Formats: sequence, structure tokens, C-alpha cells
Amino acid sequence: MKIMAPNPNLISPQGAQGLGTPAPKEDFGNLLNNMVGEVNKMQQDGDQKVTGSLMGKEDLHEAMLSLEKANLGLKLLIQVRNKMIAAYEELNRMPL
Amino acid sequence: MSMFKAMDLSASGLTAQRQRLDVIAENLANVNTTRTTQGGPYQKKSVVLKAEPEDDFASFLGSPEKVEVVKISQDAKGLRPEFDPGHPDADEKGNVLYPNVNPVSELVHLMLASRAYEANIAVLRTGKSMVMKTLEIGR
Amino acid sequence: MSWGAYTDGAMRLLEKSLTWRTRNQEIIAGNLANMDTPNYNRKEMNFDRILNNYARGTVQEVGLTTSNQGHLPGSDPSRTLVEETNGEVDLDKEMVYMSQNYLAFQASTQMLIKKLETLRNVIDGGGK
Repeated sequence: MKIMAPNPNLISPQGAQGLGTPAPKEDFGNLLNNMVGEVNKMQQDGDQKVTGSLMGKEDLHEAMLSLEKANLGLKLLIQVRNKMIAAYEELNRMPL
Repeated sequence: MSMFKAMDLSASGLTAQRQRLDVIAENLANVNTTRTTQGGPYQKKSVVLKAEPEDDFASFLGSPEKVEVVKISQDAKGLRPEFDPGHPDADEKGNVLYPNVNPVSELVHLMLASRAYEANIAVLRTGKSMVMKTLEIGR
Repeated sequence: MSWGAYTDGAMRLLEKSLTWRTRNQEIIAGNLANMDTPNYNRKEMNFDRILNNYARGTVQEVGLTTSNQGHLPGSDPSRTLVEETNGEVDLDKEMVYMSQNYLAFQASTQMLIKKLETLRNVIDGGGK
């Protein structure tokens, strides 16, 4: 019986070294990494738009929309992370 | 507390305009009063307004001011004589002195005072809305 | 722990914005209370100037009340927030200023709420 080693891709996104893991799992690693980057960018964009609108340079609706997008992006990221952790835990529980 | 400061300012405005309204009402009621307790005809009254800083240690610049009614002044100019020898208040020449109240101008002042009163109410309401909105931050 | 989210540029500007807008409401209230006071000069807060100063990093004071009362009036006028104009109060214009101020206040409050929501999402994130 082979004890399943923890998939490094699920734990540390940077570790997409491909330790003989099938292709879909490698995508998840990158997926999370990319999402973090994107959400970060959305947050910064939101901040920029807020500052811009307070200074009178940007429209208010742009600021509100970017804040909302940033929020939703973050929520999505958190959900993806939670699901991945749940999946990993479930895999761990599988008797093999 | 500073969030009530704006309300105090508006309250002073309401009080001042209310007194102004009262004075106008008195003027109009007495437009033909030829005899008063002071003797002589009714003299037109008006409010004298002054801007006062909100608190004693406020700086000279940058501090909003409330309004105060300093006094109610009487104007003796422009009393109208009318020739009416039969009138109980006629003087030796047969002239009766009528008040210097001009109803038309009093009505104009009435409208202005009324608008100003409503404006202060609007300020009060807006200030209150701002406080309510601020409370949403905590929700 | 980095409290960067509390002190980042946008949050700081939002907080300042709320303070300024509240002060402006008081100024407008004072103007409207004194609209019929003879020789009254209306006061205002010039937001173009205030925001420009903020962008340039110039410190501003609310009149002279913030620091010590020992300060004499007549310190650098370009650094004060509230200006005294030489004009009288026009009821209609003042009402418009009040509406604008109120809307700006609401916009700032709403954006602040959204940003705080972001923080809350991160904190609650592990929930489901």
C-alpha cells in the first residue's frame, strides 16, 4: 500500500516542480498563484481609483466598481483556497 | 461634541428667523395702531442680527459662527400723518400719526424669513443624515 | 503584523475626506444661519486647494484651533482649511454646496465601508 505523499502543488503553489504528478494538479498550483497576483492587482487598482475619485480625477462609479471587483476577486480566491484545502484533506482521509 | 456643532448653528438660525417672523407678525398686526402704551403710534420693529463665534476659545479664522438676535429695534422714521380731525388720536392740527409699517415690504420680509427658516431646517436634516451614514461604518 | 491596510494611502485619504466634509457641513451651517446677518462674510472650504495641498504633502490645519492657542492669527493662510471670503451668502448657492458636500461625504463613507469589507473578508475568509 502506497502512502500518498502530500501533493506539494496544493500546499505551496510555488512548488510546481512536477514530482510525477499529473498535469491538472500542476494547473491548480499555478491557478492559485495567478489568482493571488490578480487579486492583488485588483486591490491596488481599487485604491488608485478611490484616491483618484476623491481628488476629483476619476468618476465615482469607477471607484465603486473596482472596489467591488476587488472584493469579489478576494472572496473568490478565498473560496478556491478553501475548496482546495478541503479536497486535500479529503484525499488525506482516503484509506489506501 | 463636535457632531452637534452644526446642529447648534442651525438651531441659532432657526431661533433668529423665528424671532424675525414674530416681529413681522407684530408689525402687520399693528399696521394701523395709532395708540400704544408708550403713547404715540406703533413703531415698526425689526431684529438686529449678529454673528457670534460658537465657543469662546475658537480661533478668529476657520470657525463657523452662529447667529444671535442682539436686540429688537424700533424705527421712528417715516410715521405717516393723515388728516382726520374727528379721530380720537388726532393732534391739535387734526393730524393722526399712523405707523411706518409697509405691509408689502413686511410680506416680502416674511417670505425671506420663511425661506431662511426652511434652509436651516434642511441643514439640520442633512447634518443628521451625515451622522446616520457615519454610523453605518460600524455595521 | 503589517497594518498596511489601515494606513495605506487610500484609507488615509478617505478618513481625511470624511473629516473635511464634516467640517464643511459646519461651515455651511454657519453660513446659512447668518444669511441675513448684515456685514457677514461667508466662509468656505476650497476643496481644490485642500486636495492639491494634500497631494503635495503640505500639512494643513483647521483654522488655528488644532494647535496651541498661543499661536497668533496670521500664520500662513494658505495652510488653513477654512477661508473667509468677502462675499455674502446666497441661499440657493449655499444649498447647492450643501448637497454637493453631502454627496461627497456619502461617497467617501461608502468607499470606506467597502474597503473595511475587504479586510473583513480576509479575516472571516476561512469560515466556509
